[in-house]
Amino acid sequence: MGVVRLAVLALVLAVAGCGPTGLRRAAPADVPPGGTASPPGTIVIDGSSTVAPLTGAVAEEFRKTSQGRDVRVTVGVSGTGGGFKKFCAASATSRTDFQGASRPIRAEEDEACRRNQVAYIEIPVAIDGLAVVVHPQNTWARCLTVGELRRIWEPGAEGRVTSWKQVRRTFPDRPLRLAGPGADSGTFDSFTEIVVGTAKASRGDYQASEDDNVIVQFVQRDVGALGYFGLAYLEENVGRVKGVAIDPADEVDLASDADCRGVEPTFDAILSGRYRPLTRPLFLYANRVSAQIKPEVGEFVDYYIGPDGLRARVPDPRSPASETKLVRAVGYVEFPDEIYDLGRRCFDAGVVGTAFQDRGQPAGSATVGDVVREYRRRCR
Amino acid sequence: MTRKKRRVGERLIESGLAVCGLWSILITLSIVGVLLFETVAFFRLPIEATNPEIVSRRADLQRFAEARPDLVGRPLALVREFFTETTWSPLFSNKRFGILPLVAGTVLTSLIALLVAVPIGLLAATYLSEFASARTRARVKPVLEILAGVPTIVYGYFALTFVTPLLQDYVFGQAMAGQNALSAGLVMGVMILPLVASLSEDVMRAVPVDLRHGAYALGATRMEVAVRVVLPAALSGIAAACILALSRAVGETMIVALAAGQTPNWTFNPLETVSTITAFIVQVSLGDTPYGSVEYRTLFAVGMVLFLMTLAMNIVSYRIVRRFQEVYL
Repeated sequence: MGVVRLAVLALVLAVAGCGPTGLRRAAPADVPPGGTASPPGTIVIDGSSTVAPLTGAVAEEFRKTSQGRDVRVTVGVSGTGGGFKKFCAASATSRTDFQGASRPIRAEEDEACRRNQVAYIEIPVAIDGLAVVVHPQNTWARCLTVGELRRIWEPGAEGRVTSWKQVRRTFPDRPLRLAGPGADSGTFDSFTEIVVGTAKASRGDYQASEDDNVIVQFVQRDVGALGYFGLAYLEENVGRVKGVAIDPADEVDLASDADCRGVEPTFDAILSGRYRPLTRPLFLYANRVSAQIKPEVGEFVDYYIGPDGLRARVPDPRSPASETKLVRAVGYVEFPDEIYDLGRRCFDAGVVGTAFQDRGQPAGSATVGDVVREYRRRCR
Repeated sequence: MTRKKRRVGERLIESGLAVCGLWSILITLSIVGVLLFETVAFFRLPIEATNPEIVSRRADLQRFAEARPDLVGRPLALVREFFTETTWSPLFSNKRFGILPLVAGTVLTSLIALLVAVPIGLLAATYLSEFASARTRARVKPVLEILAGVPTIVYGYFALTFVTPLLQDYVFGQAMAGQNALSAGLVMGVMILPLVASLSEDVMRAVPVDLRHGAYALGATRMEVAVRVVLPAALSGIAAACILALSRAVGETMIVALAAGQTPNWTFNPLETVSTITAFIVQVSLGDTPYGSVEYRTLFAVGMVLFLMTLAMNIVSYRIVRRFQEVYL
């Protein structure tokens, strides 16, 4: 019996030792309400896996500057939902200084923040575009309407829409084979929300992979294939797959192919707001109390959206001889400069809350124009 | 005095050993306990969804109730759907909870792996134990065992980027999906091959030399000795080795997640994309599934099924070993 008790004791000790209390620094007693417990000289970032590569790249450059040299920046990847859970957590020990988000904060997340007295400043950082791709030798589907995409991808299409002819009458009667990101990817969430109307509503009979290269490989091997992923992967795989022009119309069964007035997925089309609606803004949320008491938080924001941060020139990973902006090297598109000035002004003025709350459940497809409009209203 | 001292020392060592033994049992019990607890929580979803207070507070429970109003208040309907329906889509908004496609994918890939590993493994074991010289055996066996040491993610990418394109280009063409059960199973077969070969060789070598000598004395050839004397005598051990390899295949994660796909597909066609229980678990674990949500609970329900499958195989293997074991005195 004594042995058993000893074993239980050991188990309890071991478990306790592995818990967060054992690993994390205890909260300093003087954390102001709504603040974070991360010690001075550190910046703790978490959130969307879509924003993390950009934040990571900026943080790496930030550490090379004179202000950032002694700052420890950690970038976690809990996803937008998981990140907000920490960002607005009840206990200051688990809160983060920054939260990367691939969509505006949701009402229930905002409420959690409010309940725990966490005030936040919203900063738009970049735009992510979604590309629909087909085989390079696919001669018919050069342009698709959003209505046609819905006909292909909605849950009711499972097992029924299996031929290109069912998408548009003028298309050939070829088997339609589909590939796309798995249900855990932010790209899946955005695409289903924009195209089908409900996040995570999708047919299930497509080849799902979180690895975009698998989707490229799938589409590359089948003339009748169709897939989708972030625009950066299209840019990386020019020649292997072909981007489809997207017409925002809801129409299906077009009389002729000429009725489809789509826009090709390119960085420039996204930047000018012509490529609709398969784009989504990416955000950074800053804890306001951290921003007030830790100078490095403000310095990081300064650097992030400043001219040396995400818009700095870096070698282009796709053609190493030339240069490109850091944000494009990571795979996204920068906002017009005005947005960053406005974001900076909002941050300095401590304008808390989100610009998107009054839109209810904001669609993932807010365009550049929408964001500019919202921010002019807020920060000017 | 000295005697008493020694007894104290012995007692200490004994209790130390007992703690070590209990430790693993305790861990096993707590794992099973957590699994059971969370599985019950999954099947309780329809009951919780009838409680307006919880539903209004918990967004994901609300989504569950909206997506599946037909399950609200009917836990038995969920149980029935779980074990009999053929659509698995708990991560989608159109949620379906039929686990059969995952089980089918798991069984399919594991069977293909066995079809590769058992014949080749047994031939290798027979050769090593009965025909190879001591020198050859000393060299070949470690090399064979290295196969088991290759990280499974390497096998996964090997299947995805080498085996699949090869099979597509030269054998099946467009009929084979880019992620499919066949490539994953074939490569998984290679992975568990050393398990079958090495363990079988051990049990075959353990067959007493007297038996072989007796057969030779009756005029048997080497082949006859190997196939008609040694193999039957080692049968229980071989069967146990195969079942161990099968459990390993059933639980394998990286290869299937990469090469077989993540599309729960109710099919036994090895050329199609499937998903296995472990592939689903890794898919959910890598994403940001909130703690306690509907999706999070499905993890434990499928984990329980996997656990029961492996447990059943272990029981079968135990029975086989007991039943066919030859005792040499």
